[in-house]
Amino acid sequence: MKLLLIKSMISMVTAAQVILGIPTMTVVAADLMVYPTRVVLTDRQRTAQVDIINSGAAQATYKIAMVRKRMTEAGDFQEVTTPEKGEKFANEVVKFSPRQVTLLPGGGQTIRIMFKIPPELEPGEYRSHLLFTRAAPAVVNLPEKEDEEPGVIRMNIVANVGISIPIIARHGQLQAGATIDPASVTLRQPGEKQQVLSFTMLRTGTRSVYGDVAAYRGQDKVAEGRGFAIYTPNTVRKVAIVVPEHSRLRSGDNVRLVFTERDEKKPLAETSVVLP
Amino acid sequence: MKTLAKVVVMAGCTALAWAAGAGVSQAATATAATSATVVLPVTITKTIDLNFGRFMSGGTGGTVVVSTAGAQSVTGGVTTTAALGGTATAAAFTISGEPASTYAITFPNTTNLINGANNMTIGTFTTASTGTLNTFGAAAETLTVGATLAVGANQASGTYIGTIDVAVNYN
Repeated sequence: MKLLLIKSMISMVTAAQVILGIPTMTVVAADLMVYPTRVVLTDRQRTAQVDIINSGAAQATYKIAMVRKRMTEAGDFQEVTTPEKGEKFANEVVKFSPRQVTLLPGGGQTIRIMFKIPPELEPGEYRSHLLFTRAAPAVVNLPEKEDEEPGVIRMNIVANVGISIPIIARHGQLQAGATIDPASVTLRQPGEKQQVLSFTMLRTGTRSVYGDVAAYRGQDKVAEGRGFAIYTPNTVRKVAIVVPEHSRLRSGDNVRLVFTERDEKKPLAETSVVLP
Repeated sequence: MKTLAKVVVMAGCTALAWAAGAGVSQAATATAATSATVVLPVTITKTIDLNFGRFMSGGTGGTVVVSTAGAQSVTGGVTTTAALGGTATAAAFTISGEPASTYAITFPNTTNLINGANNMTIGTFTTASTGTLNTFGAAAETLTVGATLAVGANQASGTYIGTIDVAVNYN
């Protein structure tokens, strides 16, 4: 049926080339577990380990690489091709091994990470991201004979899914502060049931901050978001957290927003607002 | 008869040793569990293929765009009709992870699709999600992905092969 259609189209349009976009996009799921999902090295703690486990059903080879990424205000990552002012990368001061591992199903491997501090290293926070990708299979799907239809273009795309975790190396005495801008707090209703509370967090100081945000109405925690970072040299992060249906917020509600760094009890930033 | 008895005794010893061994390892497991952090791994499964739909290349190059809603549009020398474009679909992935945790998914700027000496590029990936704002929900969400395919003038026919490196990035 498909072949018939292609042929009739070719006879119909003789001048132009018929292109059939039928990419069989195969997703090579990473089938990979990585723990921890974040590494912080300091002058005193210069080594760390990351464990990876092949959670798939087949033997797989994974490549491990250190890449440079930049975070946008909205929390998306971009590749860094040209470094911007104030950006310091860890790939030159942090070594790791191995760079490639072949794991049996359920098999694991420890990746050793080391902060090598050169004597003249400028104090500050250096960051890169460790990227784990499954090595492409040696034999890419070969086109089948019947695919070679004259005048037809086919695409065979493999989406290779990987995982990246930040590797942060801190040198010298660094400090950081954070604030939540009360004027930025807004409540949106993108769906019928769902509410989204968004606000802007600001960072100061010489190191990045990473932690969890929570919104309270009185004593009740109405919403939370985990694992927000503001990396150096960024100073702004736009945060948006989902308010579950059972704790629906209304205009005029008094809401307290709290940002707490991981493994700390005392909040780093706190603000109270009356919802507009 | 004597030999048999010996065998039985040995087997018993072995069983005892096993039991003791099991007891020790159970204790160890219980201790470990008290300090364990359970982290839900990120899972991504493709549910729908990315399909640029049908279109015709021309004497000049152009692009084919598939939106996150699966709508096809063309520019330059590429032409299409509603019927040809109707077969286009955005890619869809089911994605899940630790609830309320942030994540960010990245796509390459451009990727080459190669067919011998000929190539096309795919890039400008766009994403939309049924969940919210780079945060995992309690349930799995669907991530739809659109892209732009650059088609050359009189692009040669054949099968083009390429790899897209998608990454799930932790903060």
